[in-house]
Amino acid sequence: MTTTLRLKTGLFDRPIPVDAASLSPDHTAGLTVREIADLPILVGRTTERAGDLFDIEGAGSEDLMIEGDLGSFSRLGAAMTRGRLTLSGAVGPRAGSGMSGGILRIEGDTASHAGEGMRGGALLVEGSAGVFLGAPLAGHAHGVNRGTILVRGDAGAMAGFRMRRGTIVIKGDAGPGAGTAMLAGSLFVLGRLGEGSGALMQRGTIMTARPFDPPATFLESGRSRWPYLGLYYDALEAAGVVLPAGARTAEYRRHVGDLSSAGQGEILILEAAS
Amino acid sequence: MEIDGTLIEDTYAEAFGLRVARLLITAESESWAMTAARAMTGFATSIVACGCEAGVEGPPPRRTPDGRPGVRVLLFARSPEAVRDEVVRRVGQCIMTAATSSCWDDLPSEETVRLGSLLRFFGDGHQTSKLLDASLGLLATGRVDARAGGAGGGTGAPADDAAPFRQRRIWRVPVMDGEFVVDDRCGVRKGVAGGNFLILGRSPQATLQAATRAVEAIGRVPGVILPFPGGIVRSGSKVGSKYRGLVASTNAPYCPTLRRTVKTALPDEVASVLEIVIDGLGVEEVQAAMAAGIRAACGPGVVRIGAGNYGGRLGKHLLRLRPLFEGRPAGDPAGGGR
Repeated sequence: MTTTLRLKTGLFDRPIPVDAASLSPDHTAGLTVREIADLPILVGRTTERAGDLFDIEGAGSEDLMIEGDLGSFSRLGAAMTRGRLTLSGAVGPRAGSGMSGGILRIEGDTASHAGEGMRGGALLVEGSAGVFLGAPLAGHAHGVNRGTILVRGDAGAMAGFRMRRGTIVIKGDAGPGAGTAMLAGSLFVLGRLGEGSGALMQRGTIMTARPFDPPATFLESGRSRWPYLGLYYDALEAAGVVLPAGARTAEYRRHVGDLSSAGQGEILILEAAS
Repeated sequence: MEIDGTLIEDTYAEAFGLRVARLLITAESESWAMTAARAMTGFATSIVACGCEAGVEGPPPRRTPDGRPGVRVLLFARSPEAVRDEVVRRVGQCIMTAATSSCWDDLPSEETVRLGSLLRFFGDGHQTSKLLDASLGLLATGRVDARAGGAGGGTGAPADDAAPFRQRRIWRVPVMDGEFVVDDRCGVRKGVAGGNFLILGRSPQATLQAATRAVEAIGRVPGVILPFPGGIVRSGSKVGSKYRGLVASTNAPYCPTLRRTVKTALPDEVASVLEIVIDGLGVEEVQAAMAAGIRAACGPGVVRIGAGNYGGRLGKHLLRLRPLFEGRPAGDPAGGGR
C-alpha cells in the first residue's frame, strides 16, 4: 500500500528552503501515521514536524508518494537505499542525493544536482533536470558511482560531471560540459550534446545521436558498429525510451580522448547524425 | 515395450554429474556464430581424454544480449576450476579469434568462474570494461524487487525466456576487426553427463539413418548437447581394459565382429550398433532428449534400443528407458509407447 504525503497549502507566504532528507522510504517504512507526522523537517532555520506540512495517508510503507509544489524542497529521497519514492511535480535541488538503492521517480522537473553522488538505484525524471546532474557531493571526488539516471527531458550544464560508474541517459538535450572529467561510466544523450562535453574525460563512454564536434583534444578513431550498446538499448526500450532511428544497426563515429587527460574515454556519434 | 516395431529394452542409462557452463556466442551472422561455436566445441567429445565435453545446443536463441544472431554451447567438466580452464582456453583461442564474435554467459548462477576477467589481458592495457548494474534492471522493470540475473540465482531459463536485462560486467578487448566483447564471469552449475541410448540395427545403413533421425530430434530439445561427432558414437566403451593404465576400452559385447569371440549382447539379426550420448543441464533435460531421440530412432531396420550402463558403479543417475514413454519421469514430453 502506498503512503501518501500531501503538502498543505498556504503554509509559507514566501519561498523558504526546506531540507526534506527525512522523506524517503528508508525513514517512513514501518512507521505509523503518527510516527511519520513526527519526522523532523528543516524549514529555513527551524525544525518542523512532517505532520505540520503534510496530510498523511496510510501507514509507512516502502512505497511513498509525495504530492504538492515541492520546488523549495531540497534533498528529497536523499540517501535512500530501497523502496519507491514518487514525487508528483517539480522538485527542488539535490533530489536523490547520495541514493544507493530503490527507485526515485520525479514526475516533473528537478532543480540542480539531482542524483549527486549516487551509488545505486534508479532516478527517473519525467521532466527536465537542472545543472550538475549526477555530479559529486560537495567535497567528494566522484559523481555518480553506480546507479542509473534517466531524464526524459533536457539536462542543464555539467551533467555527469566526474561520474565514476553507472549510467546516465538524457532523452533530450544536454547542456554545455556534459561528461566533463568523467572517470568512467556511460552517458547517453539522445538529443544535442552541449559545447565542450567530454572535456578532461579519462575513461568511459559518451554517446550522442545528434551531430557534435568534440573538443580539440579528442581524436577521431574511425567508424564502426558497437554491438555492446545493445545491452543498454534493451534496458532503455524496456523503460519506454524510443531509440533514434538506426541506433542499433548504424555505425558510430568514435572519438577518443581527452588526450589532455588519461585519454581513454570515447565519444560515439551516431553516424546517421553526422 | 515396442515403438514402431522396435523393442525398448528394460534397462537404464547410467549418467553422472559434471559441472556445466553455458555460453552464448553472437556474431554478424548465424553462420559465423556457428563457425565459432564449432571451433570452440571441437575435441570435446569425452571427459575421459578431452578435459571436457562440449557441444552446440539447439535450438538457437530468439534474442541475444547484443541483438545479433547467436548460438548456444554447453561445456561440461569435472570441477568449476576445470570449467574455467577449458572455457578460458577455448573462448580465447576459438571465439575471440573468430570474426565479429562476442561471447556471453548464459547460465545465471550463484557460482561463477572467471572468463573475460582473464581474457581481457589480451588487450594489453587497451581493454575497457562496462558494468551494467542492477539499477538498469530497475529502469527496465520498474520493480524495486527486481532481481537482476547474474548472481541472483536464476532458473537457468535461456536468455530469450528471461528478463531482458541482467546485471553483468563486460570486457571490450580491441581486436583487428573491432572489439571482442566477453562477459567478465560465467555461471557454473551441476549438470548431468552420460545420458545415452544404443541403437541396434539390422544393417549399418539402417542404424546410421536411425541415429541421424535421433540427432535431428534431439537438436530441437533445449538444454542438452550431443558431444560426439555428428552427435553419434560408434566406439562405445566399457570401463577398464586388459592393458594397465587404460581407463576405458571397446565395448566388446556390442561389437558385431566379436560376436563369436566374446559373450555378446547382440541378437543374431543385429549387424550394427550406434550410441547417442547426451549431456544436459539437468536430469529432466536429458530424459526429454532421450525420449525424443529414441522415438525418432525407432522404426524399420532398428531391432531394439538399449542403453549403456556399468551396473550402477559409474554414476548416480539411473535413467530407465521404458518409463520415458510411460509418463512416469518428470518432464517427459514424449508420452506413451505401446
